[in-house]
Amino acid sequence: MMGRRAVLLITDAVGHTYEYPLSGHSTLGRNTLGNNIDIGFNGGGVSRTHGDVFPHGDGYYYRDLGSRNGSYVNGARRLNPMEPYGLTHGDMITLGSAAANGGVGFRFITRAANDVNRVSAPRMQPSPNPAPAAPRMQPSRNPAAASPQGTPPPSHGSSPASVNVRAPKLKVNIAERTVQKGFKKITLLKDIRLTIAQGEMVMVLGGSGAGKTTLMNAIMGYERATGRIVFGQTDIYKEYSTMKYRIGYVPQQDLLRAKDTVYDTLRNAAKMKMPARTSESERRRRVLEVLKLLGLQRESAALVSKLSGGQRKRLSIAVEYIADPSLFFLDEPDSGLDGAMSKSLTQQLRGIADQGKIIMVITHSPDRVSGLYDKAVILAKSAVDNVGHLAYFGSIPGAFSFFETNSLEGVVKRINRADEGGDGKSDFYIEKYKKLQRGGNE
Amino acid sequence: MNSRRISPFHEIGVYIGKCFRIFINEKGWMSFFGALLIVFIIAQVSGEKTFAQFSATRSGAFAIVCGCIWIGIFNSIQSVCRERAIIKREYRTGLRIPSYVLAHFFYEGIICLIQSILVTAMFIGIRGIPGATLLFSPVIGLFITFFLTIFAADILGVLISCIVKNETAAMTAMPFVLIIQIVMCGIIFKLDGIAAYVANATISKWSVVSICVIANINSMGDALSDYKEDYLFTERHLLMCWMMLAGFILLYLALSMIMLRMIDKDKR
Ligand SMILES: Nc1ncnc2c1ncn2[C@@H]1O[C@H](COP(=O)(O)OP(=O)(O)OP(=O)(O)O)[C@@H](O)[C@H]1O
Ligand SMILES: [Mg+2]
Repeated sequence: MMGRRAVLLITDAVGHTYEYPLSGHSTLGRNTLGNNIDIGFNGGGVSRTHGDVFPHGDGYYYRDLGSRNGSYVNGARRLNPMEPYGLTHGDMITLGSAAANGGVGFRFITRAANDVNRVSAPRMQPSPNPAPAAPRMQPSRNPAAASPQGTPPPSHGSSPASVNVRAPKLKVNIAERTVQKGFKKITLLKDIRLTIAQGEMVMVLGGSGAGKTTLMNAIMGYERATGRIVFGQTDIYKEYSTMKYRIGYVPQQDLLRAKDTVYDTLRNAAKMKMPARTSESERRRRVLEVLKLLGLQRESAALVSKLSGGQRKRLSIAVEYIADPSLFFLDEPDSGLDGAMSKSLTQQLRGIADQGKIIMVITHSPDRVSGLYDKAVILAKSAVDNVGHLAYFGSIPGAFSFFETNSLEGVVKRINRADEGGDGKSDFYIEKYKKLQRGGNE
Repeated sequence: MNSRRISPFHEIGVYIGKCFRIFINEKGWMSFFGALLIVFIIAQVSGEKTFAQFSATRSGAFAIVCGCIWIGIFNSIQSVCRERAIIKREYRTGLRIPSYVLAHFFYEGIICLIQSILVTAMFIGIRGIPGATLLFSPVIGLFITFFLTIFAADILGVLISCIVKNETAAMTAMPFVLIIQIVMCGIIFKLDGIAAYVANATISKWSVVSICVIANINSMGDALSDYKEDYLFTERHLLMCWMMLAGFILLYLALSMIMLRMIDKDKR
């Protein structure tokens, strides 16, 4: 892309077109409340997270993230889910077949870097709104976010409702996470790269000891790794002192004082975590609201030591949720819950994610509620180096096709060791995913 | 961002509240009966001659000081380490360590205050009122000494609890601390040279001395001239003992805050 700039010419369902300058990774999906993808569409046939465009090597790639109606190149070829497609100048990608959705999608354009305004490719459709309407962009927290590397924001007439540029994303780039044991350095995790968009709820799967908890701790800066974790424009490691208030973490073991009551535990958490100017009545209202949300009203006066395992888990969640975190990490929140309760808990989490939060959940019973998640992170421990690697990151239907199975339990079975009752194919999928990330059209 | 959060002052309040709720829910007041029982036994054993004869007064003072140190350390030795994982979590989400330690400081201070009232009443009730007025009446003088002793031992317990990682380690450390306090106070053995200097760093030495001063031990018939210097019946001397004890309290408090910061380095 040396000396050349890449843009997407976006066509919306109502026929509006506008220009979207590319830089880094961008996701495409349906415009719904709280679904903060980079490029939003109003078409009914577009999935929540339909696909993404990302740079690699010299060019840009488009990848269908396991959408329901698929993605098509130049009106003909349907792309395989999760397989990156190398974009060339003039390529037209439709989200869903053009016949069904009237051509919702984009055209990929490259042009000389100094040529800012001239559209060098034919428009897909004449814009019904040639006068440049003010694009309705989310007010950017940081001007650099809207115009990376000095690229001007979309300069053509924009469809007011469809632009959804630059919601803060969580970008994880972990080179490795090691611990020192005596004189030996043990590597627990290696090469983990993920980008999670606002409003997404992501599950983390992997066998016992694969490093799920370790990964989560590394992402939220609790136990740091070598690498960079960025939320929006903020480096979580460098600015931990401010970020910590925006991170909620429900650990695997409940960390609660046994001899305190449920109500007081929550009330103190509210005092410690909510902004100081919050009034006493506001705080009380929030405590009651969270008690109700997590079904702990009747236990309000009970001592924590008297709670059942599931109740204690819900209290742990309540203690973190009370501060309304932007990033919410939960380590096996459903352990000790029965099926119905775990489902309603996941629904509650889905609701929280839809308010524009990022949620990451480690779970051992993924299939019950997989439809509520946007994406899955699959961690596998390599048999070669005994280190946790990324075996897959993407949509859940995409995971099914990637692992050639029809359930998430099946996915875990693929990567578990034979002595754990699995197929022992972790290294095969680690490699497969590496190849996929490197790009290549097949 | 920090300024938008709870002030240190309110933070201390939250944690003091927590301490007292747990005190009630755990029936922490049972420890008051324990303290009364210990003092009852010590007062009985120390015998009639306490506050009447030189050597009996010294050993009586030594016994009650050992009791006070036990009560103090036992109050707090597990208080921090047993919730270490919780504190690490809370620290990582914004809790200020000084606020946490100060909350325990104030809470323990109130517990120690109640205990020293009970100890003073029980001891004087059995052994009578010693000495003569020095700065305060002997009753108040003894009460201040008992309070400073129990409180210093208590905050020493907090310090140990801030250093060790779990309750087992705390209970292993406790006998060593007690032995040092007992051996180094200079009552069982006469200490010379380096040991005499080390003794200055014990709580026990300064509390035994202040009890002996309050009892005006030098005026007793069998007083040994060897020791006269140690137990001068002067306001200055008594104040110095108390200042030493208060100094220990502040030192242990500061060290607790420093040591608990290391919680950040805790591994799973
Ligand atoms: N501080 C550490 N020192 C040495 N080994 C560690 C450390 N922390 C984690 N490990 C090891 O790293 C591996 C991953 O641990 P982790 O707790 O992340 O697993 P997990 O995927 O969460 O498993 P589970 O599902 O059982 O909770 C384990 O083999 C564990 O023993
Ligand atoms: Mg775990």
